[in-house]
Amino acid sequence: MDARIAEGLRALVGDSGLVTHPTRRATYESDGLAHVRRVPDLVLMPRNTRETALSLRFLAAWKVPIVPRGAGTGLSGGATPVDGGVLLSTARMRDVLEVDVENRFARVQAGVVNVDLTHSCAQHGLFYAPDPSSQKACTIGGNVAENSGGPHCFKYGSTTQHVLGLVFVTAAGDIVDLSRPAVDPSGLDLVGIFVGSEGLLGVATEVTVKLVPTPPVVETLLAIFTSLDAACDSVTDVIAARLEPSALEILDDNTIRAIEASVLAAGYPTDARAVLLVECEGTEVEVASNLRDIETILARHGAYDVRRARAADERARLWAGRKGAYGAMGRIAPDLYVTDAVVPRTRLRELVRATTDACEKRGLRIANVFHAGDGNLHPNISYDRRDANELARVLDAGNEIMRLCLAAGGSLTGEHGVGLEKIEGMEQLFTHEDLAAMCRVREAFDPEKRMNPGKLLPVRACMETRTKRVEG
Amino acid sequence: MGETRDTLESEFGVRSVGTAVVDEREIPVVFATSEADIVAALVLASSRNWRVLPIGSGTKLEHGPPREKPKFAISLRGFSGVTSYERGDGTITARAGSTMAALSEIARSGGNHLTPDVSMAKHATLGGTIASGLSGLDRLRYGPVRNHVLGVRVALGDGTVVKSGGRLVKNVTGFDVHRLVTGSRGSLCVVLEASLRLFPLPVHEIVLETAYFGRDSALSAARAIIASALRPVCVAVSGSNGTRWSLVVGLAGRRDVLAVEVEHALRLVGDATRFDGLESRVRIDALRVLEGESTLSATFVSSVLPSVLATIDSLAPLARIVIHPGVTAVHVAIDAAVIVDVACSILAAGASVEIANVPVATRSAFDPLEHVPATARDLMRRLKFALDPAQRFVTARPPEVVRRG
Repeated sequence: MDARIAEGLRALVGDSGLVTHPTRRATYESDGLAHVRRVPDLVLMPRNTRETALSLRFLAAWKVPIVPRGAGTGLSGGATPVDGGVLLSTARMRDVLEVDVENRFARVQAGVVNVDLTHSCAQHGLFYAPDPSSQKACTIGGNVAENSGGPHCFKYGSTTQHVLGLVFVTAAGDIVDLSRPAVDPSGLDLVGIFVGSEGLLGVATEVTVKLVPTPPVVETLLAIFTSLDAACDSVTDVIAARLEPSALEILDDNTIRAIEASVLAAGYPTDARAVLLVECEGTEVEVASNLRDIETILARHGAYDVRRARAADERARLWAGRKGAYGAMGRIAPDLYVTDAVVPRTRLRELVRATTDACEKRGLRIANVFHAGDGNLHPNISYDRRDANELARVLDAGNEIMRLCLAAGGSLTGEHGVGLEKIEGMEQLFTHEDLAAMCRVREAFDPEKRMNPGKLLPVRACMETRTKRVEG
Repeated sequence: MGETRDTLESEFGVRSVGTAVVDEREIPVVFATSEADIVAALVLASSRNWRVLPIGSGTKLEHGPPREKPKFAISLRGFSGVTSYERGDGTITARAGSTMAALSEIARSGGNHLTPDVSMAKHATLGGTIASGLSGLDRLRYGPVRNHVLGVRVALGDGTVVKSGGRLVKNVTGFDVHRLVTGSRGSLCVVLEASLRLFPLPVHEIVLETAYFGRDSALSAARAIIASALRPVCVAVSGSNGTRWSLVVGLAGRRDVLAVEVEHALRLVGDATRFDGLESRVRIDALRVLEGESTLSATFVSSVLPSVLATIDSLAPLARIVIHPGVTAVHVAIDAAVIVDVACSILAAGASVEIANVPVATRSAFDPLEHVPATARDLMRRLKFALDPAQRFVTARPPEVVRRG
């Protein structure tokens, strides 16, 4: 990359806002999709919206690709600079700018860590609802880009339902300030289209989010099963019975053993084939009423033990185990391929079984931990990327899982995004015309298509197909 | 109009072409009954370079800014029917001309609740509801309509059919173009089919109604309900200055839970008349009496409510107001002579505002996007060109700034 680019950027963001040394840049070579890597030419870390806008305006003259990145916890390769260029990290934009208790919103810089936002408003009896498993590290800006979910999105909805306003900067360096919290959009819903756009439409620098009141009563159950099928059927029946828990999460035996062997041991029984974590929130009578009927369904499906968390610390431990599951799987193999797919909730059992078979028949080590209430599957395959044969089998299994889910009326991703990982699947799910319409939306924001190139849309330019159809 | 009508009648048959009044002008309307009809109408429009307005039953034609004049309208009212109802999964997919009442009834029969609970549900269509982006009286519990549109199939200006999203309750695959379509008022495309998320149907509904001598007392009681642990479907304060004010609290849920919640609510609001069954529906529907009158609707963050009410008291002291303090929104039946001044003041306070059922000249004088930043307006223009490059669909006319002398 031309040395004048680094010089120009340094003049705008200072020495601490620019990473040029190869060793330091190498830490940005991938996100959680570890098998695809490329070191960015430069890493830019602006401190605020103004520095971001000035930098992007400067880079527009050089026609350089821009790859936005939060904490790099994404699992679909969305923050991997496959085409090189400048990686724009929000790591130095970490201020909570405003907590408005009366109006129940917070305005934060994009680099604020998800759980820090909740901590910053807990004293007011409020919290930020989307809670991805990576919430101790992932940023609000990254959550906006991916439209992140989490266990409690079953009740509260994904990130898009919680974003009231945004400030973002386009590839040309224009600041679009929609930070004033809007109950309804005026004109076209720019915030709505931006959330989940995976960094292709611009860089969010500030986010205004909805805060919700802490529920008066929370109860957490751990239901223990001798079969994964039975756990899945329980979830399907809870939903069909129109009960209203706030989270329904399944962990299979391989996941349980990995967690219990780690520092995150939560007390899950290691002889169980599966456990179902159920959480209910609300008034005392509402929670009691829901739990009574849920327990009946769990018993009908053969849950041989149903434990109720007796105190907040026990509940926190159960959730720490669930949210730390991916980390715990590091004990099984050096790398983890976290698949993400959504299916109709009436077909959970069938598809969990089929996706497990797809891995096992290839001799792969699979562990299931997933948002069962939303039909959001996460078959996790432990592997070693240095073993080319194993990596090939992992990717092959990933393709089959995707085909199985699509054939069942499912979709490619429930919360991790398309990124690099699922880009070929886009042509399985969408027609050429569907994709062309998305491409035109992209061009309205970024005519040169310099924002996060090579992600989400399987086209380099409108009408020019970049990837081939997945065979099968 | 004659030549356009002749062409449409020749293409679609005399019985499929009628007349619609849009912004006080008559235009021909094609009553489409199939996707092929809709695509054919768009292809015809493209070949003649005619501008088109997609409509449902036409219940919201007098809402918002007046439009540039279309050559003809395409009504989707006859393009109805459910294509998929997944009771166990809690989703419904239907053609755009299906009425919200019909869809609600189907959902109800399977134990699901369809939101939004809109006005004139027997006429309001699914496509029109999505295009208008208006939420319902049940918004307090279920949220705005845009949160529940899971996906759409739409026809672009040249007749190309594209989809966005899907039929799943959780899905982040691709851009959420359906979020752009929701609230776009037919300016980008024709909605052909949409999927909505459903919710558990409450077993029982109860409405509590209390009369107060002053608005502040009613609002104070309403705020106590909203701040409590209750999850009401609707909390509304309605009335006008000089009359008694009414607080309506809609509660819904499982029977055992509801019994306790009603007791809790009664402790907060004092004496209240209790309605259940059909009567509770009647009390909720009474909150919609503003429909058809000159109205102003606004949503805003809650701290803005006092200044909104002060504006209304000052400029339209006799207006009838329905306040939804939990959302936060107001709907005001108001004299058309002052509606623009009130709308401008409320808009300046940070609200999203729409005026409806007033003469075109009045609606022309109000720009709901007045305070939207220039960069955002520019992006909206570019999105319009991106999805409708031939400008096939009509958009709002530029405002005629005639107010305030």
